[in-house]
Amino acid sequence: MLETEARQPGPGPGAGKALAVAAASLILPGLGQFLNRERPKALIWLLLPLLLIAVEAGSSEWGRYIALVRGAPVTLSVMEAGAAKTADQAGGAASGSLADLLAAQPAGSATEGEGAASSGGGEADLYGSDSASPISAESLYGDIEASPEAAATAATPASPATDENSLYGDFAEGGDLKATYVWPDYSRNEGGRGHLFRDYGGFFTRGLWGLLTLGRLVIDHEYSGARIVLFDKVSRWKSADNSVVLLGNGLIAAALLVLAGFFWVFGIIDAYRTRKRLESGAAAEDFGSFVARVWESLFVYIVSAPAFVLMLLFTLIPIVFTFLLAFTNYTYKIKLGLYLINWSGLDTFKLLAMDPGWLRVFGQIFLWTIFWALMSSFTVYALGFINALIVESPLIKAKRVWRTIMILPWAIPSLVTLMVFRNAFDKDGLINQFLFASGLMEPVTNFLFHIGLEGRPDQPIFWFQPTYNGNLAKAVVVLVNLWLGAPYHMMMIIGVLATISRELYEAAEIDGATPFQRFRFITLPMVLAATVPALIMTFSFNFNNFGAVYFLTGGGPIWDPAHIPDSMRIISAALPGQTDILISWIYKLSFVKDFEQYNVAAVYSIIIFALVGGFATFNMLRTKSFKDGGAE
Amino acid sequence: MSDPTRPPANIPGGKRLRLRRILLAVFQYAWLLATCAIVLIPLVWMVVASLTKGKLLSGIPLIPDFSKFSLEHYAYLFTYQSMTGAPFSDFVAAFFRSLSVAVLNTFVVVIVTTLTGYVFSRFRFKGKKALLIAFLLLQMFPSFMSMIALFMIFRTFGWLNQPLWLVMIYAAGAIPYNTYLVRGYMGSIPRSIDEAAIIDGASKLEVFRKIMLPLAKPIIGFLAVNAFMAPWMDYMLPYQLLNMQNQTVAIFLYRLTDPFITVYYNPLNFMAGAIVLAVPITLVQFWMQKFIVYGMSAGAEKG
Repeated sequence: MLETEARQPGPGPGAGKALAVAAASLILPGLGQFLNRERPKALIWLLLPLLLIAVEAGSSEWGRYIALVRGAPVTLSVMEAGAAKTADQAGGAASGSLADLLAAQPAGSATEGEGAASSGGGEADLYGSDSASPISAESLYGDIEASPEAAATAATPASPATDENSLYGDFAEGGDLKATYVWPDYSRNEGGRGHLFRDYGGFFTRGLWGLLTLGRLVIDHEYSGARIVLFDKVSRWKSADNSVVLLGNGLIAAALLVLAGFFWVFGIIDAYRTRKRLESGAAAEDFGSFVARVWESLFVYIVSAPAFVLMLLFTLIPIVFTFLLAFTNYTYKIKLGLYLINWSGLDTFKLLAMDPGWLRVFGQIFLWTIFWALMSSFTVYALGFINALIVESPLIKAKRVWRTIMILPWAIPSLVTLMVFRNAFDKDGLINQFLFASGLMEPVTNFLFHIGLEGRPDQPIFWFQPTYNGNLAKAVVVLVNLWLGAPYHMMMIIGVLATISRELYEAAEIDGATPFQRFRFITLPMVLAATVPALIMTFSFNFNNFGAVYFLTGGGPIWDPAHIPDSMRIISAALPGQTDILISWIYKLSFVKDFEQYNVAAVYSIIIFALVGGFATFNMLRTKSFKDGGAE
Repeated sequence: MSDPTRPPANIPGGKRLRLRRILLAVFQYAWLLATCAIVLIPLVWMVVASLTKGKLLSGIPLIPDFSKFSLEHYAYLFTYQSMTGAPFSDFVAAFFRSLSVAVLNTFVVVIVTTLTGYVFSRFRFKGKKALLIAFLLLQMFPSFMSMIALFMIFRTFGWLNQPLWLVMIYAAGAIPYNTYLVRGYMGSIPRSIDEAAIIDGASKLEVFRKIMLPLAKPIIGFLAVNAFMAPWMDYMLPYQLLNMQNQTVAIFLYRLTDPFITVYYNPLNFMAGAIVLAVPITLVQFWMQKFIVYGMSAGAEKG
């Protein structure tokens, strides 16, 4: 009813008309605008479905499927040279329209006559296609012997003439190396059903299918009269499903569809409102003022759209992807193409929560991560503070020179310094050489041994390797981080110091405050108040400071093998080392070749995300600037 | 505060006081000297190592040994080509690849985040607070934890092995915090300025371009220098998303220190490469120092 109204737009009051154009826009974006006599707008909205369809069609085999259902002349998988030339007297117009799609197919084609002979086949009904379709799928898969008649006789479901070789055939007639498309023969599947979206779908339909199923077929499955192979360039349906690809593409497709959906809804609302205004007798809005109005009212969204799109694609989708992996069984055991990933619910969570081995190792890593984050943040802040006070002290001359040298570690790229330090703490590196050269090796190694950092008083000192030197390695990581991180805090605190009013100090001096009192009661509280948010950021940053651990020690030294729980030995090279923090362990779980535990890594990622994200958000929400700004 | 009845402590002529000042000065200079020594020694070692023959770290003295002096490591950087016929050496090509990523990233980040920050500081709209919180939350997810997904996205769009597309990921990662910074900064610019401009007929974009951007120069400088620095030292993304023909300079350097890649392993080559890379970057950092200090204190205050 709505539609008929919409098709006959005429003057007259009533919200019914407005609803009608809205419905028109719902059916086809732009149609409502068209009915409102807003051609340019209609064109814009019409571009949306056209774009989606173009992407879908360009990446799909729907052309082939339509040809199949319509019974138009389609190419068959004929390997034998003789069979190919036969059925070329195809039906006129349809042949031309399909020429593009089938251009690459030199083999023979079925005629209409052949199709008619076996009309009413299951294929067309199965997918609710036009029942007038004169040809059934089965007839097309039948190996065409020489003529239409032969094809027609071969049109029974279990076509005896069908030749395995022809379905496997990758080569066209004459043996030249030209691949031929082979049609999936659903009649050969159990129940005559096939995965329609998998076999023909394009970016969006196949994407959504993959997102829901994570794939169905892997190498060596028998399907539709063929054996699935790892990759078949032409007959893509013969390629094995790759669950990760399907999941990823599915998410991207879903996200793009959601975006398109927003635009669509916006078009519906626009058509409705415009119509209402028109009905109430207002003058039609010209395109220019429409653009101006949209620009005005949606300015904030349009201008920040690039940021939102970037965040959606490169932050949100990856997070969702990782999040989903936590609920799968994806580990190194799943060789993509050979096996499928399956949804496994909370199994991974259960394993990690119940297994004492995993729990203990996670607990140890987690405690060290917290300790590391606290220690590293506190030490860099404290040293930065001290350095700032001394550099800015009135007794110091040539402040600029000192400051320049002291901020060098911050200015030099940290990856470089970390790798230099890795070399410096090498067995032959700078530190050991220095200790030998200065004669300090003996006392230093004894000292380290006595305070328990070193397991054995080696000379030279092995900083990152043997299992008994774990504590030493941890101390070194904190120290190197201090070298790297203190200058940043020094600069920040120098900046804050400059903002403290001189008059405060002068007033305190007149009141007789000692230098220490002036520091204790003026400098310290002022600087702390100004830098607490930065300190929280530093903590969050260090909690996830992958580089400081990975590039310096690589997580080493490894743990004493005797202390590794049996249930965890299976992950072998992906086991954490003694200096590994959570994030660097996650890295190992994701990327140590042949020991990947993607689902475990995803679960831990979620834990980190919840902890750090919750912590930072909680703190940020409490800041004054957020409350002010958010309330606006 | 201190007891106001006490007499001022710094009456001139106090002998003990002067001694204390001298001791304090000595201590402070000693502290600075020690700090600078700790800062400089590894750097000097780096330079000496890069100028020494051979490929062993164990031969490197602390005091330069001029009999072993050699420029071979620098020569390696500027001449070694894994593929014959390339216009540049591997190192130079990787350097320019990183440079192009860094420059593009600077532009993308500055344009995107200043616009977003402007919107968040000057307009009321539905979902503003929710979006701010979402921004905050999302940035807490380190990008490499979702590396597999990023790989899939790059594959889908056909961007694998194309360094410039990495900018998308860097920029997306930089948006949240920088938006906060810009929003905080622009919030401190009096609204009366842009209101006056709007009364005079300026459009929103004109206000942004002609008023906000020039006034926000310090924070933009900070954004720019951060965005320029980020790609140089990123290892994970290029390692996973680019092949060896399209490596960035960070990967080139890392390979030189990886003992498992024996073809390339040479820590002394690495030292030379690290210096060649670090010198320009360090200079840029110093050159932009004013902006950075400014931005850091803005970040500290505004959070």
